[in-house]
Amino acid sequence: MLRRLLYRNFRLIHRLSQWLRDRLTPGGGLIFGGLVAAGIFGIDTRQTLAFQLFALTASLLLVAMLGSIMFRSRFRLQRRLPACATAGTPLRYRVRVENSGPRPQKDLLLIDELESAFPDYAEFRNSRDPQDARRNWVDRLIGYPRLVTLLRHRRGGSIPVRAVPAIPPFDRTDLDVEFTPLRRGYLRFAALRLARPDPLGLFRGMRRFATRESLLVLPRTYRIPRLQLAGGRQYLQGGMTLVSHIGDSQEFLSLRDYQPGDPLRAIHWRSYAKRGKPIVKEFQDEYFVRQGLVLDTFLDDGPNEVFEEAVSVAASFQLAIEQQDSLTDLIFVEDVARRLTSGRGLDSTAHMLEMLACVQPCRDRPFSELADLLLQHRRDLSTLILVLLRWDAPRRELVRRLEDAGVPVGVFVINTADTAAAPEPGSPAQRPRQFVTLTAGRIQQDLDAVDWQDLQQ
Amino acid sequence: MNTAAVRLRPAPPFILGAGLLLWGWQTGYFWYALPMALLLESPRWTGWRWPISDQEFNALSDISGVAFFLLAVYVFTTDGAGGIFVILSIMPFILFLLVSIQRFSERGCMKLSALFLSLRRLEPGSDMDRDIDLTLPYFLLCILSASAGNRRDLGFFILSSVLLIIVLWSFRPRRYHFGVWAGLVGLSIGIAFGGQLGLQQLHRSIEQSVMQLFEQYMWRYRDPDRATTAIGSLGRLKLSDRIVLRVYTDGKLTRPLLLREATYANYGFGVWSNNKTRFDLIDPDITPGNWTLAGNRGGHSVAISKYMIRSTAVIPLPMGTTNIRNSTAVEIDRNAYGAVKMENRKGWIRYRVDFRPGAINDSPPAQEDLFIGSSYRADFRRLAQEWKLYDKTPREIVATVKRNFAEKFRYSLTQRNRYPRGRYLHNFLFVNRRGHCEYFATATVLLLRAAGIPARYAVGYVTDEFSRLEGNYVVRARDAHSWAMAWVDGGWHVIDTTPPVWASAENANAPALEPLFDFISWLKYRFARWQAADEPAEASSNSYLLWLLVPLVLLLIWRLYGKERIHRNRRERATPPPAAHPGMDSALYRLIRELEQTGHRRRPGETLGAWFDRLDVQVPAETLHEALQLHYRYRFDPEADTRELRRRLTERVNTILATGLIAPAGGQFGDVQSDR
Repeated sequence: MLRRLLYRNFRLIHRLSQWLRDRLTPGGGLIFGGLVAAGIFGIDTRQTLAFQLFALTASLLLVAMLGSIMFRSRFRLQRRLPACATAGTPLRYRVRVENSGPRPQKDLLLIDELESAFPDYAEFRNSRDPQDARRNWVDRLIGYPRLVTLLRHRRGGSIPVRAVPAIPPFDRTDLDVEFTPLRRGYLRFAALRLARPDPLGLFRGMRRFATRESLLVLPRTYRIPRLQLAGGRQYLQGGMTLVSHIGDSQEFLSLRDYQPGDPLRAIHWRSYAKRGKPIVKEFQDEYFVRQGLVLDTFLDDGPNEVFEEAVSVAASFQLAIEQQDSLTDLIFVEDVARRLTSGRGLDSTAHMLEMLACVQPCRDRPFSELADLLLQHRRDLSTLILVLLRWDAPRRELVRRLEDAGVPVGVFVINTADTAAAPEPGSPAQRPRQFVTLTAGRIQQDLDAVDWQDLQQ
Repeated sequence: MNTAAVRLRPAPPFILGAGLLLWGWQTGYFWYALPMALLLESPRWTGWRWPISDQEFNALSDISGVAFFLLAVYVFTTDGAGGIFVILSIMPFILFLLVSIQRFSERGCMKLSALFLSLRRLEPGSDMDRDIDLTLPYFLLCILSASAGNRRDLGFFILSSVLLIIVLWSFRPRRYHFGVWAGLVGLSIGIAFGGQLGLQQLHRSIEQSVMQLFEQYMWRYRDPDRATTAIGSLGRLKLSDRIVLRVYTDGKLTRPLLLREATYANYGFGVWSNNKTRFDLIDPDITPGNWTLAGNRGGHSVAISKYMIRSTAVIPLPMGTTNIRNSTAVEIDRNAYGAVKMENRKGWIRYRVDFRPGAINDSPPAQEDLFIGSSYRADFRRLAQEWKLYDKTPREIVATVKRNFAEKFRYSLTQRNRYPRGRYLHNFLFVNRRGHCEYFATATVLLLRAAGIPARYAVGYVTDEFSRLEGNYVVRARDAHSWAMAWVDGGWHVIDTTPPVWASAENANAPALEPLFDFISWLKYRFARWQAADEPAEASSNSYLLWLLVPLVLLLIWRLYGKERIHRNRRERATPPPAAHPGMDSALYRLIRELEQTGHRRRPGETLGAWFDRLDVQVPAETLHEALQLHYRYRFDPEADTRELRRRLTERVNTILATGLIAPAGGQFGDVQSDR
C-alpha cells in the first residue's frame, strides 16, 4: 500500500522534476534552490530575514518566467537519422536548425525528445534494476531511483542537450548529436525543442517542433568467432526454387517425359515441339546445411536483464554463423511460434537482427509450444544452438530428445550474477554436445572462454 | 559535445568573499568571515593547486557531515527547537573546508557523490554522478545564513540584492540589450521589496487569526494546574482583541479590577504549574443560585458574564471573593490556590460576585512557595543582594521591589534576541530590563522568594475598559494579565510590578475596525442572552426587544398576505373565464337538471342518448331523443339557425316538463343506481 501511494506521487514528482530540468537554466536552478531554502527558514518572519531572500528569489523567477514568454522567432528543424543503431553503441546523427527569421539567433539550446509512456503500477512493481543492489535500503524501499532507471530504459536513452551556435538571419547550421541507446527496439523521437533563456538567464522559453520519427535499435552483440557448425546436410524439399528469389538457379540434370503433377514451368518447349509430347526438365535435389538458432522467450517471472542478454547472444550467433552455403532458422515463440529462415537469398541477417530487435518475452504460452516446433522440424536441422533462460526439466528433456534424434545441440544458458550456482548440464549421457553457462553482465568474458571446437566438429 | 550551457558556472570573482563578509557582518562572526573570505579568494592570485582525488573529497565531505551532526546534537540540546536557527547561522563554517579544498584543487570541481552517499554506490562512470562546482551554492548559503542574524534594518536586503545582481550579471544571455536586463532586474527588486513587506504583514495577519482561533477554543479554558508563559517567545507578543468577559458594576471603577482565574507555585523554563491540586466542592446556600466562599459577605459587588465553551471551567473572580450569587451553576468547586471551577450550561453565563479587596482567603504558604529552581537561584539571590533585600522587613522588601521594577525596568511586548533555554529571565533582570507582565510577575515572585517571602504567581484579567455601547466594562483577551502574590503579615497581598502603561500600550495597537467588531460582538451577545434569559432581570431588560418584533411581525404578515393576494390574483388571472360557446344556454340542461333532481342519475361516461334510453319515465324516449337532436344541432351545427333551434328546443323541453311525466326515480327515495 505504501508503494502504491508512493507510485501515485512519483508521476507528479517526475513531471515536476522534468519540467524544472527543462525550464530552469543552471542559474535558475540555483535561484530556485535558494527560494525553497529561504521559504523553509522564512516561515516565521520574526526569527530570520530569510523571508526577504524568499521575496527576492521569487520575484526574480517570476520576472524571468514572464520574460521567457515571448519566443516567436521562426525556425525549421530537421533530424537525419541513420537506418538503424545498436544498443550500447554510441549513435551519432545530425540535426539541421534553420533560422527563417530576419534576426540572428544565439544562446539557443537544442533538446531532442524521446517518447516514453509512464509505466503502470504493475510494471513499476515488477521492474528490476541491477543498480538497486548498490543502493541503500531507503532508496530500494521507496523505489524512485528504480523508476527513473525504468523510465530511461523505456525511453531508450538520454539525449544530451546541445548548445546551438549563433545562426545568422536566413541561415542554418547542422548539429551533431550523439547518445547511446540503452535498449533494442524502436526509439520514438517525439519532437525537437529549441530553448532560449530569458533576459535574466534564469528561465527558458521553449518552442516545440513535432518531428516524429522512429529508429530501430538492434540488439547489442558480443564477439563470437565465425562458426561453421557441424552437422550433416539435410534434404531440402522444394529445391532451389524454394531458396532463390531471382530467376531459376536450379542445377539442371536431364530431360524426361512429363508426368502428371509436374509443374508447367518445368516443360522444355523445344523438346516438346520436337517430340510432340510434353518433356520436362529434371533438376538435382538440393541438400543444404540447415542450422537452427533457438531463442528461449519463456521468461515467466525472471528478470528482464536475462532475456535481454539472451537476445543479444542470439543476435551474436546470428552474425557469427557462416551462411555462405547454409540456411539458418531463427526460431522463437512470441504471440505465435516463429521460424524465420535466412541465407541463400531467402532472407538477410539484417532482417533477422531486426526481428530480434523487436522480440518480446512470452509470458502466456507454455514452453511445450517451442519444444513441439523444434521436434517437428528436427529432421530439417543439421545442428541447433539453443539460447535458454534457464535449465529446468522441460528444457533438459527437449535437448535430450533432440540429441536422441541425432541433432547436435549447443546449449547456452543465461544466468544472473546473483544465481547461487551454475546449472548442472547433467550426466555425461545426458549432457548436450556443448553446454555453456553465461552470466549476465559478464557475457563477453564467458564467451571468450568457450571452446568452439565442439560445435564445429 | 558542448554541455557547458547546462552546467552551473563558477562564482564570479570576489562574490564568495563578499557573501562571507555579509554573513559575518549580519551574524556577528565578522572576524571569522574575513580570513575565510581571503582564503577562498586567494586562488585567484596564487597558483597553488593540489591534486585532490575523489576519495579525498569523499573523506572531507564525510568529515563535514560528522561535524554537522555533532554540532546539531549539541545545539538542539542547548537551545531546543530554536537551535535550527543557530545551525543556520553557522552553516558557512561547516562547509568551508570542503569549498576551500575545491578552490585549491586542480580540477576545480568535485563529484556529486562526494555529497551523496547513495551515488557512491553506483557503478563507476554512472552519468548520475556528475561534476559539481560548489562555489555558487556556497555563496547562496552564506546569504541564507546571513539572514539568521535577523538585523531588522534594510542592510541585509540591500546588500543581498546587490550581490545577487552581480551573480545575475554572469548569467546574462548576450542576446539581450543591457537596458532590458537592467529594467527587469530593477523590476524584480521592486517587486521583492514590496513582497517582503507583504510577507511580514501576511504573517502578522495569519498569526492574529490563529491566535484568535486558539484563544476561542483553548485559552478560554484555563488549566488550574499549568500555565505556559510567553517567556522566551521571540517577536512581538500580540493577544487577540476579542471580548472574553463583560463586567457589570454598580458604579465606575476607581482603579482597574483584577479578576483572577488561577494561581501557581512552581516555575521552570517558562511554565508555571502546581502539583496536582484537589478541588473541593462548595455547598450551595439555601437560596438557589448562591454559594458562599468565605464568611462575612464582601461589601463590593460586580456581575460577570463569561462564555463557557465547556460545561465545566475555571471562572474569573475578583481577589477576595466571598459569595457567588444569581448563578445558574450546577456545582462550584475550589482548590487551595484560590482557583474556582464552575459547572454550568455552555454559552454565555452570568453570575454576581461579592468581594472584599485585600481579604484573599487562599491557603497559607507551603514549602513550594519559597522554592526557586537551581537554574535561577543564583540570579535572584544576586539581585536580592544588589537591592539589599536581606536587610529589610517584609513590607520594606515589597516596597523596594516595587520601586526598583518601576524605576529600572520598562514594559515591552517584543523579544528580539534568542538565548539558551533558561536564560531569558537572567537577561530580563540584568541585560535588557524589558519585558511584558509575565516577566515582571515571574521575576517578582522569584525575587520575593529569594528574599524569604512566600510568593505565588497569579493569572487572570484586568478590567479597565468601559464600553459606552454596552454600558458595562468589557475585558478582552489582550487584557490577560499576570501578577505576583506575596504572604506578608499573615495574609496574601497582590504585588503587581508591571508598569501601568501596559494597558495603554495594548490599547494603542487596537485595530481600526475594533468598534465595528465590538458592535457585532455585542449583538451576538445580546441575542445569546435573550435566548438564555435565565434571570428575571434579564427578561425585563430584554422585554423591549420584544417590541422590536411587532413591526417585524406586521411586515411579515403584510408580506405573506401580499404574497397570497398576488398569488390569488395570478391564479384568478391564470384561470380565464370559460369561453362562451353556442349551446351553453340550451334548454336541455334544464331537463337534465330536472331529471337529476328527481333521482334519475346519469352514469359516469354515459352518453345522453343512452341515458335517455334507460330512463324510466313516462315521457316517450322518442320525445327525449328529438329534444336531444335539437340540442346537438343547437350546440354543434355551425350552419344552423341557432335562434330557431333554441326556440324549438325550449318549446320541446317546456312541453316535457309541463307534462309532469317525469317521476322521481326508484319511487319515493329516488334510487339513482337502479338499472333495468
